[in-house]
Amino acid sequence: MRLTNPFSRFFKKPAPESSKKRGMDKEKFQQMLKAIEQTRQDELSCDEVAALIAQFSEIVQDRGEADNLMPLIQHHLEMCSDCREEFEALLRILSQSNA
Amino acid sequence: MAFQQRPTVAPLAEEVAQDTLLRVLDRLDTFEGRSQFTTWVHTIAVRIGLTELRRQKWRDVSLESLTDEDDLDNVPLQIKSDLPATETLIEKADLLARIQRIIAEELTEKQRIALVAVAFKGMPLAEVARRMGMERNALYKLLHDARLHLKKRLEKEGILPSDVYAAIEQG
Repeated sequence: MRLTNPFSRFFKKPAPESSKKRGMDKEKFQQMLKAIEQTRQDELSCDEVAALIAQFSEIVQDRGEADNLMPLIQHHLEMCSDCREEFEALLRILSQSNA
Repeated sequence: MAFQQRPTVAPLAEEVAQDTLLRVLDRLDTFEGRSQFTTWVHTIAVRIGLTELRRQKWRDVSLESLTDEDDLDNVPLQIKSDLPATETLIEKADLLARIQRIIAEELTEKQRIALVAVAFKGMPLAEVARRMGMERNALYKLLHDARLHLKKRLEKEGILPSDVYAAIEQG
C-alpha cells in the first residue's frame, strides 16, 4: 500500500465548482465501478475498523506490508477514503516513532 | 506532532492534543491491550486531528454546490460523432443508457447525493455525514447499501464491469 503525505493536502482548499470542467470524470467513474465490483455483503463499519486499526497498524508496521492480514480491515480501507487517510497517517507516525 | 512543523497550525495542534487527552481519559476503560497504549492514543489523536482539518478545509463548501450538477447523469461513454455507427458503437451507446437507467432506478436521493459528493467530488465521508445529519458510520452504511444494490442490479442485467471498463477505455 503506497503511503502519501497525509497532511499537506489538507491545507489546500477544494477548487470552486465553477472553475471545474463539467461532466463526469472518467477516472472517478472507473474507480466507482471498481468499488461496486469489489463490494462485499459483509463489510466492516468505520467504528469496527477504528476499534482494530491500532493493532492492525502495528502489525503492518512490523511486517512492512499488509499481506492479506485481516482482509476485512484491508477491504474497508480500500472502500473508505476517510479511514484510509487515518490509517496512512497512523503508519507514518509509527514509522517516525520507530526511526 | 507533525502539525507543529507548520507555525500556523500550532494552535490547532494544541487544541487537538487537549481534545485527545480528554477523549483518552474518557475511553480509558475501552483500551483492551491489543496494541501498545501509545499507538491507541495516536489513533485517537489522528482521528481528532484529521476530522478538524477536513472540517476547516471544506467549511465553505455546501453539499448542494457539489451535487448541483449530477455527475451520475453523464456516464463517460462518449461516442465520437465522426465515426461510423458500427455495431460496437451502438452497443456502447446501449450500455451507457442501461447503466444510467440502473443508477436512476436503484439509488435513493440520499444515496445519489452521498455517492456524488464522496466518489466524484472527494468530500470526506465525515463532512458529507455532517451535512446530511448523520454519523460517519451511518453514511458508510448508506454508501455500502448503494454499492450493493448497484452490484446486484448490474449482475442481474448481465453487465460485466470489464465490458464497461473496455468501453470507457475505447471512448
